[in-house]
Amino acid sequence: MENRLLAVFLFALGTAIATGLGALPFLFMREISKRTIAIANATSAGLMLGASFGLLREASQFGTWQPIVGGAVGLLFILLSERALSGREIELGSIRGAGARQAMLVMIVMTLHSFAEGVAVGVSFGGGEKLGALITIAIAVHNVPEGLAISASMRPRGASILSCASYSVASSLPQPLMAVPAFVFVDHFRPLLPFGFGFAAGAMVLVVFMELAPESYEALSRRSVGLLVSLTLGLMILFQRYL
Amino acid sequence: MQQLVQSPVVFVLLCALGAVLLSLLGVIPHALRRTLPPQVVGIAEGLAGGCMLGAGFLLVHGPTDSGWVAILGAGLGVGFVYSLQLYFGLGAEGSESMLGGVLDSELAEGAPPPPKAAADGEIGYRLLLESSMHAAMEGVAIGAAMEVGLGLGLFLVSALALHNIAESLALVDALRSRGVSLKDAAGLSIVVKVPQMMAAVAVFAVTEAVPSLRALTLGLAAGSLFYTILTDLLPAAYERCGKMRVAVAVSASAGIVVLLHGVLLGR
Repeated sequence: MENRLLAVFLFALGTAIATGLGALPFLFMREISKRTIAIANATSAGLMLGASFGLLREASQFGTWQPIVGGAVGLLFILLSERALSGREIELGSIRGAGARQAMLVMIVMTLHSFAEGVAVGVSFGGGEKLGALITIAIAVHNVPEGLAISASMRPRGASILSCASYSVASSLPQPLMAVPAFVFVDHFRPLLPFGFGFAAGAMVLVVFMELAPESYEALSRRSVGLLVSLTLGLMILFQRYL
Repeated sequence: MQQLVQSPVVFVLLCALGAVLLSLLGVIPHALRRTLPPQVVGIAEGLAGGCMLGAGFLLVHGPTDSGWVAILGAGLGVGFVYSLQLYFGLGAEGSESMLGGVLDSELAEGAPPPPKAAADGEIGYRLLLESSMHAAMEGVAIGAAMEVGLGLGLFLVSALALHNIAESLALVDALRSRGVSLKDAAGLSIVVKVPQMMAAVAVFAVTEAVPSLRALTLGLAAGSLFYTILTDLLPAAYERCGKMRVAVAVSASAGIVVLLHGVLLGR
């Protein structure tokens, strides 16, 4: 039993570390302008919308109303977080001010999302090692664009690559932390999955339309925002479906 | 008469007609009050956008779950609407959004905002053109959903009918701000929706005749809906009532659409 617990923890830790790979594309970014920030915001928006669609799709296999109730709670949570953060001097790594507030909100939603995914990893190992490994690989791969979304909210604001990778990994640390108890108490955690997925999806959708999308329009035309968000949304859906 | 109503194509036409006529409910607030607060119009646009977002999600991830073909269709839908916008000069820097706003960021530095004065000017023409294009894409969604099945089809017609009310409210507001009379604005809000009926019938007929096109048309509808939300409804809504209200309106209405679909029709 102890070996199995260690295996679950290590698999889930691997998924968390995979999130850091999302920072790598920014090794090639030289110039950071208002337009770059807008492009990064639009990219993040599409990726997060795609992720929330995937979460809702997964959650709908477990229940119909549960994901939406979870989503409503997620929405409220973000509204309260926004209220708590507004008017305060926020710092995230080397980022300060309004940019830090936005990056913090993106971090919060991604971290919340990770709790639900950690439960999913633990519950899947309850169905056998083969299933657990399969789900873990899927989540690890899926974490890479999420790390990209976090890095996209931080790098254009001056955060270093290492900082982006570190925060991305940190946002996924709830996965190994939740995977082990979820594996041990699988029958108790399984009913919570649709609520958890819905919570994460609702929170993400609100952050997309409250922060990322409006900021994108500040330096890009409507057509450009439409194209970029649609493209990254479609790619994320494809990625989740086939990888 | 009975044979006509029993015909599937006529049934789709009648459902789409019902969704279009319901837009007139969006005119009522304007009849009661000369000008509506911009926040009300902005929230209406957000609610309309959320209905479209929820509908798009159901088209791609709903009962058919059509996979990569649907995503390809979505790409084609986005490309089609983008091309039309490019051709007519819509959605670019300095252009006005469908529902009246011009984003400050899209104005060239020092340039005056485009005049809102009425009439037969280019601004009125573009506004109505973009509204019609938008309505046609919604018609594609109705036709595609109707072909999948009665349950999904009727659900989508209902969701888009509600969205039509909110959109009509915003469109009439934009037309009235240009000096168009309430009677003419109400009539135009119906006329621009005629492509919705035509597209619904055409797409239904084609996909019924060629069922292998189903996944592609579902994706095409979803892609064009998402793109339209991003280039039309959202920018106008943000201008009118700020990002938090719009975000809550979009998220809540999308969630309600998905919830009602799950509760009424099952997974």
